[in-house]
Amino acid sequence: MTERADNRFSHLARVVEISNSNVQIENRLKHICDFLSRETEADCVCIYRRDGHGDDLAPWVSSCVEIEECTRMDFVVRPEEGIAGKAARKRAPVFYPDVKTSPPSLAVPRELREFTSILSVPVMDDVYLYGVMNVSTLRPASYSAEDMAFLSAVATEVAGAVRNSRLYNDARKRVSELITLNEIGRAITTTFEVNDILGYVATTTSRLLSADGVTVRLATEGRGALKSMVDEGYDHPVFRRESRALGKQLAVQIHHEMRPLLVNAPEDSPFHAALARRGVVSFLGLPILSKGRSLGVISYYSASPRVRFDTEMVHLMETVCSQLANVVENAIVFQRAQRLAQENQVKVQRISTLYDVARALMSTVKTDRLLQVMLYALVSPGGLNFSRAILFLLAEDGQALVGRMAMGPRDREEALRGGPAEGAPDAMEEGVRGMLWPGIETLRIPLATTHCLVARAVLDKRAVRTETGCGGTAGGAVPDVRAGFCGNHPDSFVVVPLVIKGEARGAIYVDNQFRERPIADEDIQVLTMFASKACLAMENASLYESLERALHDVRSTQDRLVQSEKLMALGEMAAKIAHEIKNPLTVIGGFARRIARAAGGGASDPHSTARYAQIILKEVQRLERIVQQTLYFSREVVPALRSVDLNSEVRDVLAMFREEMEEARITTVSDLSPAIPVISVDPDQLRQVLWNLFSNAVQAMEGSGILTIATRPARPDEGAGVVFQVSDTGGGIPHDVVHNIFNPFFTTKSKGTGLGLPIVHAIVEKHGGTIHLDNREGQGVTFSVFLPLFPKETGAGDRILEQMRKGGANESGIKAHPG
Amino acid sequence: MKVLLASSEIVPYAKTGGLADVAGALPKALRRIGVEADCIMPLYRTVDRGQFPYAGPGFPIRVPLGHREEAGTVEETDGGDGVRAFLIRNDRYFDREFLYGNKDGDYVDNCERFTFFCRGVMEWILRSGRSYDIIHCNDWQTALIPAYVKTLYAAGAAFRGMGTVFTVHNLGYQGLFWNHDLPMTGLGWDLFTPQRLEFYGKLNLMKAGLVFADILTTVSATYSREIQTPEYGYGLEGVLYERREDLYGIVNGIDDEEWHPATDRFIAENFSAGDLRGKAACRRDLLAEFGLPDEGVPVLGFIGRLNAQKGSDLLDQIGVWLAGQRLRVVFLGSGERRYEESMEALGRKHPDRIAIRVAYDNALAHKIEAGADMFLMPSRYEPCGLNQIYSLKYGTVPIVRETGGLADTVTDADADPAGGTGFTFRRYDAEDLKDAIARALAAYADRPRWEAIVQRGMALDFSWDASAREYASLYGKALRKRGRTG
Repeated sequence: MTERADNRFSHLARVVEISNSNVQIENRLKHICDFLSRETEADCVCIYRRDGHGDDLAPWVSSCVEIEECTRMDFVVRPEEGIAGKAARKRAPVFYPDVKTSPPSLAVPRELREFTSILSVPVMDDVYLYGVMNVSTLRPASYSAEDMAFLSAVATEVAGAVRNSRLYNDARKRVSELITLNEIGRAITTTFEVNDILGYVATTTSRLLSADGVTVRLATEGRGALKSMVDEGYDHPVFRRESRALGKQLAVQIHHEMRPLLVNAPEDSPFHAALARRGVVSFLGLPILSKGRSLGVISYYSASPRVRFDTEMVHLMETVCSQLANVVENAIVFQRAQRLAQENQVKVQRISTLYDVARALMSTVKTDRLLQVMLYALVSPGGLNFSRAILFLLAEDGQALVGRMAMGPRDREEALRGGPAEGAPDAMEEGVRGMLWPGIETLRIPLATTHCLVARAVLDKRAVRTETGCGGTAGGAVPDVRAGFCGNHPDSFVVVPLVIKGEARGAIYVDNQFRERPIADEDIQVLTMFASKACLAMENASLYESLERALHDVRSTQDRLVQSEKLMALGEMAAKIAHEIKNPLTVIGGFARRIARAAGGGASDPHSTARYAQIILKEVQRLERIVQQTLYFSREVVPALRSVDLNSEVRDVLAMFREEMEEARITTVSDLSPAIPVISVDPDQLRQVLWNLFSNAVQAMEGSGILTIATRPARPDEGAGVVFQVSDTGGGIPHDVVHNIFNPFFTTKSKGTGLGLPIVHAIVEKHGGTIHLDNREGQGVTFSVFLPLFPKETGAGDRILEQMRKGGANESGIKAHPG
Repeated sequence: MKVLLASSEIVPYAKTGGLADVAGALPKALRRIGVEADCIMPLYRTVDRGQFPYAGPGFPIRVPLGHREEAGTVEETDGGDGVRAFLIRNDRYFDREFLYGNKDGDYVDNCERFTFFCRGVMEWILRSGRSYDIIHCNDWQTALIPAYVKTLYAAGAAFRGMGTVFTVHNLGYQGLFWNHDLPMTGLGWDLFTPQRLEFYGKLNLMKAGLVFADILTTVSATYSREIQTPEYGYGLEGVLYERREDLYGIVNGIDDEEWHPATDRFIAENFSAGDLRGKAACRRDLLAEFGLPDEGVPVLGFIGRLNAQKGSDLLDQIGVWLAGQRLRVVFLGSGERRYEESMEALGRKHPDRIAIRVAYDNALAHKIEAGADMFLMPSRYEPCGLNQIYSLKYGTVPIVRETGGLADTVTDADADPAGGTGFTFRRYDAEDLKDAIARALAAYADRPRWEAIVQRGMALDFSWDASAREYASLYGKALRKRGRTG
């Protein structure tokens, strides 16, 4: 070092200035190194930092290379090694004037490089060694006592800068950790979803620790095995797969010891070497402890030499884990409660299923339909939920059981395709038919087949359940019942006999082939109850069928009678129509001839021609009306149903009569109930009913009178629906003709077609309603019309089946929640 | 449409580089084409209160920074040409001698300072009731703003539907910080992923802008494509490629008042495309300034930092060859010691042919642009580049490498004889550079052809108004992306 004693003070001042500069510590150290190298004519000034995890010294900054390049150098100087290591161990400067001739023991070539003289000065305060500063020269150098004092002062200043920077960074890091902890605390109280919380905590803390991978394992209930819940950050597939098994071993150890495990060095754990082989530089695992037991383990891995977990992180993560423990505990309690509720729900559902099945069975009396409903109830997820069901009935001769009907998947492929169809009722109906097995009647089991458990159940009139098959089971590798029943059914199944009036008539066979669910004792109870209901229903059905056969005979006889009556009515009607249209035709003919004559004779009076035409038009309109109304009877008009408010229809139609009634001095009294329910009718036809009734009343009260219209909800004894009444004061209908008023073409009026009331009658009947007439002779007439809420009842069985289908969807909804 | 331009430096308040020029000129140009633009910047010590008076104490803001709140005020001053300039004041952060760091390095709390600035802008808009349709952010110092608009402040009425535009001026500075600075920004750790804000374990603020802004721009179309490749992307090529649909390039305008041969105060004689006689006087003046004899051979100029980005290693390689050409060469610049030294050595060896001035000298830069016949820019990369544009305006034919803004502003006269304005080479290679210079020398010998190349260059429009119109159309795009009509 050249003699520049005068400059030492100003140099030190510059070093102090740099070391207190408000920039990154590396920048400051680099400037100090550059400055020293320039001013002391050293060829390299390099500062080694003491590794945070031991006493190794790693290159930090150097005047020779850029900062990034220096930190990337991958060598360390261990204590006592080379020159820096000796200075670190001695805590005092060490000088080697000529390393070429007398090198240090345990020399580190990358420290010596091509230099001749190397001076190592420890960077330390009175307590702690932060690193070592090497001043190296190519030429031989010597340092005076003042030089040494100066460089020691620089090193002390550097130590101060490093200490401050560490404190500053520690504070920033601590704040960052606190904020993160706070965030975690808030986040984990927002949800019960333990998976979400674990994922959030794992991700957040692994980023906070700069970890490369994180795994969370929770102890499963019961056996206490660890199950991986979160596993992320392993990009390399080999690393991922191999470290899984190793990670699990470590996790099990932590779970049992209930102590955090930090692995940075071989002495930390026997697994260190295995971890290092997989590229794991640092491992940290912590138990999630609650009330003295471990709920699981969270583990972090670092694959980067820059990131080594330390005890501070252990403490930090212990805080997180204790918070996490509460959450997991809560979630477990919550899940348990949920599972209990679910179990209850399943029981309730089973009972209501049975009820629904019973109702469905009672809803039909057609045997085929009944059997379909039965089988569907057995295999539907909303019903008894077996995989497959086969119904056997006793053959006519009573010597064998013959397959009658079967449902469910026949092979694995069908099982994968899914069970009973979801969707609209007709789609379900279609699905039910599609599930039936064709050719089932070829399945035949002679009752004499002693080993056959189906035959046995029928003979003993007793339910049979087996898990080990019957004597005839061929082992059942891939059982396919299509090849014949015996020897082709699985080992596990249940058979319930169908006993009607003490006699076994057949049996129901069910199994759970292609499903993981075993047949439970409860299933058998439910199945037995089901069988007794089914027997009842079958009995009903067979009774009904014989009744129906008798009824059918009666009906066909009656139909023949009605047919001949209809022909008579037709003849009568034709005569009436002919009569009706004769008058207008005569009128039209007369006036038309007059017009023709006038036109031919030339003495045409335009005024009278117009009048004739007017009359013809009017008559034609009348003809048109007759034809139109007649047509109503000759074709089937299907009501187009809408939801309709009766009151507003009444008001609308009444409004059309206002002028006419004012002219005829008719007073209207309406008494419309506000509580009237909405009904489902064809609005056009309803208006026609009202129009015809009003027009009938108005015509009956020529001169003056009172029209009364009242609406009300139907009384319970009338059925669900509405009632409206139209009364007039037109003197009533003579009692000798009153029975004719609903017959077509009967009229007492000059203007009428005689079709009005018959149309009213037909429409009301088509809507499933009724019409009554209250005739007070000399006073007036009241028509009472009842209309049901819905024109036609749909079959009860269909609705129940529909409910069951919905029940099935419910159950699968429950299953979607993790149990 | 109301636009707020946020930048860490704006001419005339504070400047360390080209960003300040853009941030100063763009709002004024926007105002001229009818876009209501204001700008916002930190209130540094360098802002001259005498020259730019503000009332003070301005609008108070409180800015959350991790676990604490930092107070500040927003001062308002007249930025000229109708532009209002808002200045965020916090003396602890900004009352310092320099903008980003002292001569020893970057300030250690830069992340905190510019987080304060970005969040301060958000708080100010939120509390002051001002509303802007667009926030235009520039470089990493303002990159958190688009992230805030889309995350922490997304629910604020002022920010719903607000469009964000982020311009990259220099991809080399990304605002890389310690991961433990993340909680201070108020953004969650869930954003700390390689797809969002993480960059090899560190917090990368520029990525906040690149990921969250509606529209990204950089300062030339070619550069916008180049930065999607590893060669130019500084590790961000992946993110930029992801956003390529929203990434545009707009070449900066130039300041016509400062750089115009007809009005330039620094040059010996003014001239114009119609009357080029003044350029000869400028040339004589330039040679005299550098002490070179005028022998009627063309003068080749170079201005710029002497470092690898500007192609100094190529210059180094062709130095000897250059000295053997019928040329006079003038270099102005400073930078890395080794290039300075080798240039100076070259000058010493050929004192009558090559001259070098190691300095930054604005007046001399004007003289070179005006007095040289050709201008050399062999940059390794060049986001926009201004000197080649000045050269075109001053009738000085540029010889450039086809990269970034150079490729977008200069057309090769051999490849396009009818439209060429200069000479270009593609590969970063000494032989290709020599070839381009040789072609320029051949063209120089053909006077009518040379005149035509000069005239075409001088006729080009590089005004800020043209660039402002392009920015305005991108603002419209940003608004449409936010579901609004521009």
